[in-house]
Amino acid sequence: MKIADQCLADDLSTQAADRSRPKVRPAMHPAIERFLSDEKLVFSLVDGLGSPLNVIFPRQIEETIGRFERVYKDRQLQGTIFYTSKPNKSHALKKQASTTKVGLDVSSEGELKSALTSGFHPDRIEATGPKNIDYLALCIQQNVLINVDNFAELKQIVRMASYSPKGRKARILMRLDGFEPGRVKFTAQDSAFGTPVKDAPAIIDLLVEHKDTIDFHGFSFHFNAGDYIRRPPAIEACLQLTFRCIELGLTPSAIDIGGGYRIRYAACQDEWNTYVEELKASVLGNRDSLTWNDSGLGYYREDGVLKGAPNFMEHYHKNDGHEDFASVIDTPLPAFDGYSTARIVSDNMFELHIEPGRALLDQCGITLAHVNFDKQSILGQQLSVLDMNRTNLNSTQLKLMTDPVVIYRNLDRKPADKGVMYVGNLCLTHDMIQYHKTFPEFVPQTGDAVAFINTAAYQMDFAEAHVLEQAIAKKIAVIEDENGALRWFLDELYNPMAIAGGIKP
Amino acid sequence: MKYEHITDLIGNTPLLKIPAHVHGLKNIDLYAKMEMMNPFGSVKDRIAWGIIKDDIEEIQAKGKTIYENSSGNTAKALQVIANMHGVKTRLITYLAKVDGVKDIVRMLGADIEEVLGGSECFDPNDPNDPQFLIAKMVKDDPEKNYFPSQFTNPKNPDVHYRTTGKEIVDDLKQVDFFFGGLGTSGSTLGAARRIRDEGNPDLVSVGVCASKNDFIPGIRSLDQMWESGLFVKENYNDFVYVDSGESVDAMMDLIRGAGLLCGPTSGASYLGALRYLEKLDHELTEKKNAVFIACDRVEWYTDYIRERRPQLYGLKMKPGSLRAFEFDAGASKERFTVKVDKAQAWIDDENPLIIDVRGNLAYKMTTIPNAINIPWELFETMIDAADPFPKDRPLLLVCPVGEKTSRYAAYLQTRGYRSFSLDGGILEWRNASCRLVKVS
Repeated sequence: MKIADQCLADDLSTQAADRSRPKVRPAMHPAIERFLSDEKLVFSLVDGLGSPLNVIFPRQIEETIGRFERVYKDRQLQGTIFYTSKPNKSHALKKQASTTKVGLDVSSEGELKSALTSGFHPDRIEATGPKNIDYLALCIQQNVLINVDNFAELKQIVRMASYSPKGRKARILMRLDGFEPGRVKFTAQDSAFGTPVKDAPAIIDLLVEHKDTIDFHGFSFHFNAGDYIRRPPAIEACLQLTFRCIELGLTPSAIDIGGGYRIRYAACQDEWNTYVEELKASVLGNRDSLTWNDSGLGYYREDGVLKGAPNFMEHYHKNDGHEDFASVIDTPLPAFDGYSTARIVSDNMFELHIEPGRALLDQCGITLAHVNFDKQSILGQQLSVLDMNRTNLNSTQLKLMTDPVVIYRNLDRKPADKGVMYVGNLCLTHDMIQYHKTFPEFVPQTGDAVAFINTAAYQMDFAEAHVLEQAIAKKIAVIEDENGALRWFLDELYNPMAIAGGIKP
Repeated sequence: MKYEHITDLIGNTPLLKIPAHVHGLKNIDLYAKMEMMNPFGSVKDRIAWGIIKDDIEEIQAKGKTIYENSSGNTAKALQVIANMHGVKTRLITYLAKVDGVKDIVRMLGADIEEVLGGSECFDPNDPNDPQFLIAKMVKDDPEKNYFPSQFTNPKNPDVHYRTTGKEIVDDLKQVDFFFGGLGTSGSTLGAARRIRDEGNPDLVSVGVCASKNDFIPGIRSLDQMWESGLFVKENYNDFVYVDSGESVDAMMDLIRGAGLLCGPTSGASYLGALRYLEKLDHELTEKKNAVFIACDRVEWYTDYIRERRPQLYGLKMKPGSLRAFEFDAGASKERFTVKVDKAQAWIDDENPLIIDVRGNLAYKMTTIPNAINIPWELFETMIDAADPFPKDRPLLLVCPVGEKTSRYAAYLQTRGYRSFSLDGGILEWRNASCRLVKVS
């Protein structure tokens, strides 16, 4: 891989992009770049361990956590940053996170058990998600902080907690939703999560009634990335209810504002803009198609005008991760005389909990795959068929739009003038890895390796399956040792404490 | 010059030649079309009046309400016109980003409703999109509602074809380059079409766009332009992207160098023109003319400008002020802090004035006995400007974790106060189970 393939500087005045072959180069941490530039190592790993292969860069997470902690410190805030285990099953990441001060947010009984074995003490764990009885019981027994989803769950906890050893209360947060819009209008979005805020008085009554068995920590909510307008009214409502609880003799000490902080996937604003512009132009018929079967990725043409909405997320933001978080808590709250969330929380000595699932996994992993062969589709589209399938790069909502980095076995390759689409190994008419066209220099051919960048959050293993008995990707952790050499471990064998202590050879 | 109606003052704006030493181009004369000279202050006066003037009598007679998707210059012009005709307006828009303009529109008597869409992108199918909301309301009762619809109404570019474009050609005869910010695209489309029709078919028309995650009032990213019903990409020869901070810099060059008190959007068009023309300038063998639109005035953008270029406001630090005080948190902390475990005894002995600098809400919920409350914003102003406390009585300053107050205490000691910060703040005090009281 040549350095020219990287777009590190984000300079608006760079020369115009080649609009006929638009690129979206991925934002890439130097550690990932360094790994990919060691082509011998990359090939030996993917050849020796099999395709697909997920490569985790566990130390990235420390950097990212540090940036979030700085936001807390600058505002004199107390509270816990919860690393969320849901977006990635990696043990290496969890163990690395356990060596920092973060808490861990689990969302199933299995994740809770895995958290306990990865080195998280129960008092650092928060349990979210819809919960079955066994999950709830284990939480109560381990004294884990339970983020209660609804009334029924709360009542189950009350009944089970009364069997706890004497004096030990179940620690809970109460998740709310359905906040009133306040000054700004928004259409209500339905959600299967949480309890309607209008039921809060009844919940508070129940909490007061059972304050001997329930240790109520505070209210919580969670919105997805980009959902900025609903946050200030939600925070206001949670704070107002918290003060109400204090007046009623409860002792809530925290507010949990969830996650939903964005990642910057694309390296350049200009490249990202250009790709989306060209995509729209293609849907309007002003250029050759950029999507599989001309599907448009959510856009369509109606009466000559573009309609629809993209089914991919914004890949470039000026403020991502910790900056995004900072802007949320620095927004003035009209119901509190224009004081910010940070100010109210700090002044009142509350704890601020957050669960930045996606954002903490920024630059923590890539997905490598072999090219099985290249061919033309029935209608003449150049395909590159990978030894992986759609379950190996599958997300709940986000389509990954950045170009993968191609590592060619040799340069005896034909030019990829008309672009390439990546297809998977499932025996289906189309097992698309990406639904849009990308423009590498050459057509990737048998034996080449393709690396999808920044796949740790929700992409690499969220929905992976043994479909058609195809391989599930192995995971390895890669770090740079004190001499600057790259070392790799099977994900489950990576032990940051032993390495830091110089015990592991 | 006498006029009957203020609307007669719309249009016929001057064309100002920007001095060559300001823009630095050798072979190109650059002109600003001074749309800021319109009576209500912007280029939008033309379309607001141009679109509704034929319908205003019917709007009045039927008591219709004018709806529009704007809280900026279009809203301002519409509101003034509506006021004069005794017509009601309702302005529905995405959360307005320039408070200065919005405040004036409110002051004029507008009813502004701010909405926000579910998606990050401009989305014509989003039921929360203002354009969609208004279209739906108007359709529900066309007898009572009127929607000029600046984003889709072909009268928008037509007004510029009939007036703006004609004026430029009349004044300049030969126009080689034309630059305007892309918003509704009405001005650039209409004016450029007129210039071409009047015998300059080789006109180079360039749309100036904002970068996608940036914000320049009245300008969108090229990506967003596809959803404007008026935009026709083929009618532009090229597009230039500019950044909002740089646009403010360019605006300042015009203000200071040319005396043109235009706003940041004009700065963006000027910057776009320079970016485009600088590349061609040295290759030209004959003189060329270029025009950009100076769409409105600078005054209402002070907050917007401060956010991007705070140094323009010359916040100088007065020597001896808190702002100028360089605080070394590590150095001999014990000189200006009181540890929590010794605090109660110290308070009993010294009877200090205890000042809790947290917000008033937090103070009322819980504080240290006998503390008074001066939130830190006020406190900083008070101690910077004056000597508000007796110097013979000790001060104990309290904040959440003792960080802010350490600095205040150290600073006030340099001014001769016996000032101390509660180490670790009220949080440490609470953790040590010291007594807290509720004030109310």
